[in-house]
Amino acid sequence: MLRSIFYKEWIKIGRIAILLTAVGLLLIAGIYLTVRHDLLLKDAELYWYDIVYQKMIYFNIFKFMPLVAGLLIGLAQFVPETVEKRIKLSLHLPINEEEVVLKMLGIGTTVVLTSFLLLFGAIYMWGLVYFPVELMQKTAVTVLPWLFSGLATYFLASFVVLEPIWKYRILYILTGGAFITLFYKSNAAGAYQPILLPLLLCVIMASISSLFSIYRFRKGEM
Amino acid sequence: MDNIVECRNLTHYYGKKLVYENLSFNIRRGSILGLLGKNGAGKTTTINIINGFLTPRSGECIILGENSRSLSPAVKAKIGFLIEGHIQYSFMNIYQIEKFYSGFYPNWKRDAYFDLMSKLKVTPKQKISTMSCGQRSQVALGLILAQDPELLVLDDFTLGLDPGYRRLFIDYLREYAKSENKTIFTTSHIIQDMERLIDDVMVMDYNRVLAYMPLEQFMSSFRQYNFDTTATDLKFGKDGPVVNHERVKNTVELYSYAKEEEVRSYLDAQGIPYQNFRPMQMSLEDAFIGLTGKY
Repeated sequence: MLRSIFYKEWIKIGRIAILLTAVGLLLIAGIYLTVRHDLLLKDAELYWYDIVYQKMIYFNIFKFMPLVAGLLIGLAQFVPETVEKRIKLSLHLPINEEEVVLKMLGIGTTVVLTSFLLLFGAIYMWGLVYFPVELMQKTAVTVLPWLFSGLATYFLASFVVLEPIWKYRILYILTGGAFITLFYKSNAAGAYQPILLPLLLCVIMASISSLFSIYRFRKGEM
Repeated sequence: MDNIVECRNLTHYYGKKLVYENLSFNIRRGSILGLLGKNGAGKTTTINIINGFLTPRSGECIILGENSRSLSPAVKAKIGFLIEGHIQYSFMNIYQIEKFYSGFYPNWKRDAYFDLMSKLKVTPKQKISTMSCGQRSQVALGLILAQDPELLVLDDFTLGLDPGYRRLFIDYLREYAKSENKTIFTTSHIIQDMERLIDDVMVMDYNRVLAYMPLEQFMSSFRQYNFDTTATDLKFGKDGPVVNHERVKNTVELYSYAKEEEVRSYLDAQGIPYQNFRPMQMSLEDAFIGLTGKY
C-alpha cells in the first residue's frame, strides 16, 4: 500500500521537486562563483572582515529558496487531492483515514527533506573550498532556520489546502504567514543558534496540523 | 434475504437547514436501490453518510455489519465508490491509475479493467483530465469492476454523460450486478434510463421521502390522469387520493395512487366539473415529476 501511495505522490511532486532542487543547486553555484570572484578579484581581506565581524550573510539570496520549495511542493501534492473533492478517493481507500494522510505527508516530507539535504550539503561542502570549518558551522546554523521554514511551509500548505472551507483557509494563511515570519526575524549570521531546537519543535507540531483539516472534512465541513 | 445496508432514523442538518429527519431504509443483498431526488434533496448527503465522510446529527447506517462512522479497511475494500462526475485522479493516465489502485486490493481484477479500457479510443499516455466525460466514466467504472466490491455506491453517475454512454454504463452495470450478485446504491437527478437499472426506488423531496418501494410496485400503483375542466380554482385536500397535480390552461394532470373509479368519485364528490378524463402512460421520469412537481 505504501508503495502505491508513494507512486501517486511521486507522480504529483517528483518533477517539481527535482526542478526546485536543480534551481537551488544553480543558485548555490551562483553564490560560490560570486564568492570566488570577490575573493580573487576584489578585496579579500575586507570580504573576510565583513563575514567574520559584520556577520554578513554571503548566501542571502538563498534565504527564501526553501520556503518557495516547501510551498510549491505542498501545493503540487495537495491541490490535486482537493480539486473536485478528490480527497474522498484517498479517504475511501481500504486504509485508516488518518493513516493515509500521514503516509502522504510522510512521503512529501521525505521528498522535501531529501531536496533540502542536497542543498544543505552543497552549501556546506562547497563553502569548505573557500572558508574554514568554523565559518561553515556558522553558515550551517544560519541556513537551518530557513530550511525549517521551508518544512513548516510545506506542512502549513497541506493544512490550508486540505481545509474544506475558504473562510478558514484565509484565517490559516494569515496565522501561518505570521508563524513563518518567526524564521526570518534576524539578518545576522548565526543569530538563531540558541533557539534552533524550539524552532524545530514548532515545525514538528505543524507537521500534524493536516489531521485537523481531515477531521473537519469528516465532520461534514465541505 | 439479508441487508447489506441498514440506515435507521437518519437526521441531518447543515447549520440550521434541515436536510431530512428520521430517514430509514435498507438495501437487500443483490438488489439495486435508486435514490431519486431534485438537486439539493439530500442525495449526496446520504452517500457521504454511507461512506463515512459525514456524521449525521442522529441515527446510524450499518454497512456490511459496521457503523459507517468507523468503517474498517476490510469493509471499505468491499465498497466501490463512484464520485459525482466520475471524479478520479485525473493527473494520471489509465495505466498509472490501474497500477496505483491495484496495490490496495488483493483480489484486483486487472483484466476486467483493461477489457473496458480496450474499448476506449485513448492513447496510452493520455491523462484522464484530457478525456471526454464519457471516457472518464468508463475509467471510473473499470476501476470499480476491477476492485470487485460487494456494494457499489454510485453518486449521480449519469451526470454529464451523453445518451450513448449513459446507456452503455447502465447496461454494463446491470449485467455485472445481476450476474455477480452485487448490491448497488445509486443516486441520480436524471431519471431517464434509471428504469432499466434499479429494482427499488426511493424518491426524496426536500426534508422528506415521497416514495420508497420496489420499482415495479411504484410504476404499477402510481398513476397519472388527465382531464379538462372549467373550474377556475382547483384545490385538493391532503386527505384525498390526489398526491399532486399540475395545470396547463384548462387541462389538469392529476397524480394519484388511487384507481380511476376512485379518482372520478372523488372529483364528483368535490363538485369539480371534468370531461375527457383519461389515464396516461407514464415513464419513471413522468412519475418522478408527477410526485415531486415541476418546481
